[in-house]
Amino acid sequence: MSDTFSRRDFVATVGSIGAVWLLADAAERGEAVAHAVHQAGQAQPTLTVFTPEQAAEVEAFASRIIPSDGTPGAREAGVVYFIDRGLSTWAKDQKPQFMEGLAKLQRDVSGKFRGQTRLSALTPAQQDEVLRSIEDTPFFGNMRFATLSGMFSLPIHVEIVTLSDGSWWDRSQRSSSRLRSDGMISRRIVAPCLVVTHDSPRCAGSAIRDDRRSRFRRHRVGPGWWIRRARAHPPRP
Amino acid sequence: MLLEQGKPYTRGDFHHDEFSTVIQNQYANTPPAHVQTWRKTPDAKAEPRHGLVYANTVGGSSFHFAANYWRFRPGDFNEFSRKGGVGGAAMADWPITYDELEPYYTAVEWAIGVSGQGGVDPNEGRRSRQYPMPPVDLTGPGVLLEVGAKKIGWRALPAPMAIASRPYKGREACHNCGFCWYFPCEWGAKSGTNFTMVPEALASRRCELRSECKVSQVETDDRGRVTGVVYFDRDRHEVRQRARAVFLCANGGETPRLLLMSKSARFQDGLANSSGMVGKHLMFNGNTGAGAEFEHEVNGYKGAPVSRIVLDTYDLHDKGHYGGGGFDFRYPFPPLLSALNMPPDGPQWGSAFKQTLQRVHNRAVQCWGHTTQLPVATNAVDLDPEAKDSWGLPAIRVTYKEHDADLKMYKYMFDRSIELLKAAGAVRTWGQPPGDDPGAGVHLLGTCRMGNDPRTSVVNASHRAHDVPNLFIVDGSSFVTSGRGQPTLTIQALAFRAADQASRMAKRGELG
Repeated sequence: MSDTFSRRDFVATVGSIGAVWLLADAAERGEAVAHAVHQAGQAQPTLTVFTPEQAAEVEAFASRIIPSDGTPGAREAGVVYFIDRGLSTWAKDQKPQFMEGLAKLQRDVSGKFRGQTRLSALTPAQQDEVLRSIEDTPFFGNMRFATLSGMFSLPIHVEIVTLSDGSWWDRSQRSSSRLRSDGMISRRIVAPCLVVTHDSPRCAGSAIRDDRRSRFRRHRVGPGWWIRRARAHPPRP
Repeated sequence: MLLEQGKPYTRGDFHHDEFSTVIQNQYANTPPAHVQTWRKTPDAKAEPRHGLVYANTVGGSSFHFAANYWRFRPGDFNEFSRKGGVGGAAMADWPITYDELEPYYTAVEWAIGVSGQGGVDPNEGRRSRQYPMPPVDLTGPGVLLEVGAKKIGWRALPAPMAIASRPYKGREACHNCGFCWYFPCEWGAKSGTNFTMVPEALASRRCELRSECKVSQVETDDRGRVTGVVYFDRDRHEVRQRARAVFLCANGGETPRLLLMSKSARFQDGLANSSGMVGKHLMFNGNTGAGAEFEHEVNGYKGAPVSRIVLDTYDLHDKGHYGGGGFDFRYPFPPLLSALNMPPDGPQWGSAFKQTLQRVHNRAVQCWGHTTQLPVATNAVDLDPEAKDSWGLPAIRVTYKEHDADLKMYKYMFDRSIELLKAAGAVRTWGQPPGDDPGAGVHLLGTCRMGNDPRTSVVNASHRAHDVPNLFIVDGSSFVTSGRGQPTLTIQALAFRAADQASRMAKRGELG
């Protein structure tokens, strides 16, 4: 790395997360994302750890962290399948703790709304009310971290992933890029669900200063570049 | 014979997955295989912590670093005699001068390919040759740094970077894909030793690389000379390798550990440790980080991590601080880390969080301050009495507490960072100056310091151990002071110089 590295920030933000999530084997986790994205697109997705009821709770939880409000959210990214796979592979040891958290969640729900035990049965506003009351708990911290990890990880062991919103990801490039109809590469900045595209090869500098001062015109972003790159990195079997 | 404990990765192994690369740090010395402990003061019990972080690969940390390649300035080598000492720190002059090292700085810049522009920094040392390539492309954050620095009355300089801005020695020029920091470069444009010195050495057919070999012991004979090393190979079988001379280049954490593990009847406190200085004076380089949001999209993810630097704060003695440093602006974090590091006073989940993420991610800039850390004798690496790593070897135990003078300077650097960001037009800023626990360190310096006096240093000016004539130590551990934040070029220049001197000694038959 040999450059200042924000370990301080890591420690601060990752704080409450079980170390097991951080130590997941890269291959297992990449597969989990591929699995998640695949399952989210299936009519009858399969679960390993969660019962369908538990999965509904986890999904309801995750989709309040990243809601599907106009743009796809945790639900469309299949985050629940990512977590399900995680708890059956690299984070096996955390399963009891996680299940305990889910059971406690039911009690939190019934404590707030008499006669209710399921987060997924509540309205979004009611769900938010429950989550606000447990915001400082380790379970919330773990769920937030697991949700964001499922959202922003790349499925590194698949070539092309069709997302449930119909867009797709070309993993043969091994970068977070999408091929757009205009032939330009746009870097997928904030996950498939929060697509922020940047087609202009200009930087802020060109807006602020004379374009000649910005050498971004030399950027090799274009169809030719993409093809060369794809050739240089043929898809994995 | 090159023994490396890390794996030999090839370009086909590289990917841009942030979770495994950045958060799990898959190329680094991560647990559970590697075990370390950490404590603040020598009387405390150390707790497990992944504190000394380095790339566990062929090519070392230059494999995935941000590639900042600053030279030291002449005054960094004799700061002690220029400015005097400071209480609680073991300041000392280097036994070499900038002028002695200059030819090797130049040699490294041309051997591996460094992009930059010499002569624009009025305070840099004498330079015998221009950089082989022009500076890397200006990036969005670089432009903002120019704007901010100008307003404050400072000057943003083109950053020297170990990234090829033009095709160089058969390697491609940088494509500005932006995956430098934390990531290995699949284009080979980043001039890490995995793409430069190691392949060159292997191509000479006079070098053999054995990777995934963990050295556990440096062996000596009755005369006190090194006879070879013992290592665990890939399958964890113990192998003995004889050698006429041994160079330890295992970084400022592993080198002292190996010396302390290599005890013998003759070297009861550890090899080359008659001074008791092995493992002492651990330094990391201080760093401060301040975040900011700008009105317009910055697009900092494109291009090299750093394109402009400010060095007007290189010497802060007249401001009442010891040392000094420099600044850069850069793309703060890739998406996942960015999501985990949104402004702390804003929403952290829900629709409002998602909107913040969409708005802030590409408008955010991080101002990094890179500074000195003072050498303190109690800040040290030694062997943990209980913890063992997966090879059954004693774990590294770190004892570390920031010096008060350093904390004062971090505060100063942090405040200037906020000033710079505001001058550049930030609409809001966040962050706080570092506290007295650095959490972890990646620049591992000072733990086998060089010097002329065998009572106060481990190696001499030629990197030869004072106690063992055929043992050389060449890595960050030789540093006497920490410079100003970017040590890699100096480590490499010292290595070129040590190799030059050792080969002359070998020709004279002095290595035995």
